[in-house]
Amino acid sequence: MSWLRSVWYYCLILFSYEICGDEDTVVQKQTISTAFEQLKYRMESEHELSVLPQLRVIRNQAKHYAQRTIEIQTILIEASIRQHFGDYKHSLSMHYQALELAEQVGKPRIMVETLLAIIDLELDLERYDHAQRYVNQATQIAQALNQDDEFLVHVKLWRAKIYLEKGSFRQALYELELGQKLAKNNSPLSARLLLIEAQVALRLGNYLVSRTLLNEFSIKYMSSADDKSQLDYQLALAESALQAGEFSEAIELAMKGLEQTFHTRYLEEQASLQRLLASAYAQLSDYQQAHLYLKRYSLTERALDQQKRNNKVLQLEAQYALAHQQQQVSLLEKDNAIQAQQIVQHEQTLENTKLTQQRWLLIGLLCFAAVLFVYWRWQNRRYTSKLEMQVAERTAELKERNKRLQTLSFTDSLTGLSNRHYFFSTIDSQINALPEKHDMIFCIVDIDHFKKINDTYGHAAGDLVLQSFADILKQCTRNSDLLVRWGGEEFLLVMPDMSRRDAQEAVERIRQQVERFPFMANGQTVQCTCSIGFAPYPLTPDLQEQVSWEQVLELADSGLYLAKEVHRNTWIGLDSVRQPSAFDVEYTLKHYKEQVRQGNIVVSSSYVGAEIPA
Amino acid sequence: MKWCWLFFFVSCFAYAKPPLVIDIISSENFSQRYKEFLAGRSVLEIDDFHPSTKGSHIEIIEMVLLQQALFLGGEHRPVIFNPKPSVNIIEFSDLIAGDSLVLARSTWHEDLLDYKGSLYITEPLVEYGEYEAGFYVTKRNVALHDMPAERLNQLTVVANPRWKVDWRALNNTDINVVSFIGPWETMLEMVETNVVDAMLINFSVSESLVLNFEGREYVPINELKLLLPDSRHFVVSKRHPEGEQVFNALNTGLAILKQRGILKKALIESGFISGRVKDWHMVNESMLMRALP
Repeated sequence: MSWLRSVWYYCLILFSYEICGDEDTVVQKQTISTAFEQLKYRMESEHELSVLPQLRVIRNQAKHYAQRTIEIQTILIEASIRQHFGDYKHSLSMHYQALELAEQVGKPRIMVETLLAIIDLELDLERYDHAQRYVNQATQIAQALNQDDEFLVHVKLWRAKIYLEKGSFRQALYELELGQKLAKNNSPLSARLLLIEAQVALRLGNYLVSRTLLNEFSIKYMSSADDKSQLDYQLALAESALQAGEFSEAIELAMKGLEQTFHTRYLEEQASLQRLLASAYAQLSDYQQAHLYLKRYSLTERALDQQKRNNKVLQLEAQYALAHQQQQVSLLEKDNAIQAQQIVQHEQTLENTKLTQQRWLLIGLLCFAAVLFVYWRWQNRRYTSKLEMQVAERTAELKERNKRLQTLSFTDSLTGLSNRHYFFSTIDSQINALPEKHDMIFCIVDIDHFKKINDTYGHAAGDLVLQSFADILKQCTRNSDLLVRWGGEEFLLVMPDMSRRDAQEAVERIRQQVERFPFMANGQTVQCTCSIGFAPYPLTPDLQEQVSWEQVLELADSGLYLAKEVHRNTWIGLDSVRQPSAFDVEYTLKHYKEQVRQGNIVVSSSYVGAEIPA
Repeated sequence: MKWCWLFFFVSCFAYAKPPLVIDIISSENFSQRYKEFLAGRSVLEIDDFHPSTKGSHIEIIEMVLLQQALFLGGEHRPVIFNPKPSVNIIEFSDLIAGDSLVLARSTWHEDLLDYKGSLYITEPLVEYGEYEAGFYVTKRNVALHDMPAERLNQLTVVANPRWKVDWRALNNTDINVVSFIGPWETMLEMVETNVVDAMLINFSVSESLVLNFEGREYVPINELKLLLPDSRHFVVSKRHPEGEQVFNALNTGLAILKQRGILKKALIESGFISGRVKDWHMVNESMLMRALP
């Protein structure tokens, strides 16, 4: 009946998949779920290959409608069937696929369920370290779900199975006892724990304990136990009988168990039963039967060995493939590392080049800036020196002009002699330069009757006379003497460092030269004379502070005036003062003639033989 | 004085009753080494179990202990050792058939499970948890001398899968096991030639724990030891007419020896239980786990 129901659901799924749209998703999911439950119900009884097509349809549907839990469970069921029939390779990959999906779903229950299924497979493959790792993982998840002890009991059961397979019987017992404490009484889980505990007890040689446990199992669970559990029970019971020395009973039980193994893939159990039979017969001294079962055991064991060898080869291949893959990954990683290194080196080179370029650019810029600076400095200096040169030229020019202007301003244009300005500008310095106790003679020369010449011959002739007169003066004086056109036909001659006697000679020479010189005026020779008055500075050494050079000049002028007055063509020079202490210069200037006459001042003159008129 | 009386009784019974025939393994020259160890002394006088001959010593000590136990248990007949090939002994066929009475070599309990119906199994000579072994490597392989327990997954050890207890012990560690069925000497040669790193061997009797074999030296990895998770027992044939009687005597005698501390003393003095490794880390310590209180 269950068969018919399953086929009906299967058809229903196919049909609904064809005709239904998205709006019927909920109904679809419900249908898939129901169909899967039906299938599971059947699967609990046997590893049936015929359910695989339906299982795959349900899986596709579950995948389509994102029912991940059902999808994972269908994968696990198919993986379990493949495991049962020795297709470990695909079974392993399907288990890992389920684990990957379970991790994605993130539901702890399905995760634990998947891990336990993988542990079952790993035990078949005798990969105990893998199984141990997965059971640890399952324990962690199950402990987080502590409100539901069922998962913890499952984990304990599988942990005990691992220890049993590994031969750590005490640890197996410990886990089983913990599991029994957590398990609900009379539950199928409790039955499985009992069965494993009985097996462990046998491995420890406690056949009496084992028998008690098996008895309990038989009473409570035998009717609901699956094929595998029933077989395990039978085997354990036979082993108990063997250990107890009840060989006939052991043989009977083993025979019964052996019958159950025919046409199944429970080869391990079959081999154990055959070995047990051989041992029991041998201990009964029935060596013929012992030999027979030993041969059968040998055949079964060989088949098992073949299967195990295949598994080992599979594992070795997988390990080799993994190692090869790792080697390739390693090679790729090395390649990548080398490439990365090359890229880094390349980048480094580029960076270095860039840095070098930047450095050179900077150096270039600096050089250019330096050249520019030098050029600027050079231009600047050139410009400055040009400016300086121009300034110097201009300064020199200005100086020259100033000098010329000064010369012009200090020179009388007609005679070429110095003028009054020059005299005033230089006299103080000349006086200061005058050595002590040396005299400086101030001498004023005036052309007699010059007005007549001008009136007679014209001003041009007068100018010529003046020029000739000046030339005479130049000829009659020393280079150190200062010769100034004092104004009109009047000339000032300053003779430094000259004694009063030398002065008399000098002025006499001038008077004579002028008198003798044939002046030309309009082509005619003209006779000219000159009058000269002079006075020494200092007048007396005692009066140096009292009589200034200006006053000495006026005294000379007074001498000239007197000379004009007495005769003309003569000279009068002040020689000394009679009483220097009583000398009053202002008075003398006003009354020069009187003073000469009174003898308060002593004068020399070229005019001899005649007295100075009153 | 006590031992003189015992010797007197043994001598008297020797003349009165037929001797007790006990099987021993014919290989390894145990008979000769046993005589050398006794050096003319009566077996019942032996109370110093320190080794005085070369080679494995536990077998000699077991021959002594068996006789002392039988005597203490009331079996005063003289003993004759009957050397047999090891194959017969391992399969227990003679004992099962009743052709042999008792074996002067202790046996792992695990190996007796299928024969519990045919063999009497005595109280343990070596109790569960007492049997320890070291990972012996060549002395020149200095890199392995101080290998830490965390790196045991990098160690490769050769083991014989027929030695079920060794196999189970190693299976409960992270150690890589290379299976080899063959002579013990070849396994040692595998260590010597670096085919494997180490071999599981009882700790040497010498103070330094160094094992010297044919001029080559082997040392255990420091601070690491492995529990061999089973007990060792004497077995007596159930089918032999004197089986029950001898078994009772043997079991009684063993209980007395145990009570007197002779068993422990013998195991320690013979070097079987090494005091030097008492504090070493047992890499499969979890196998010692007791059941829930």
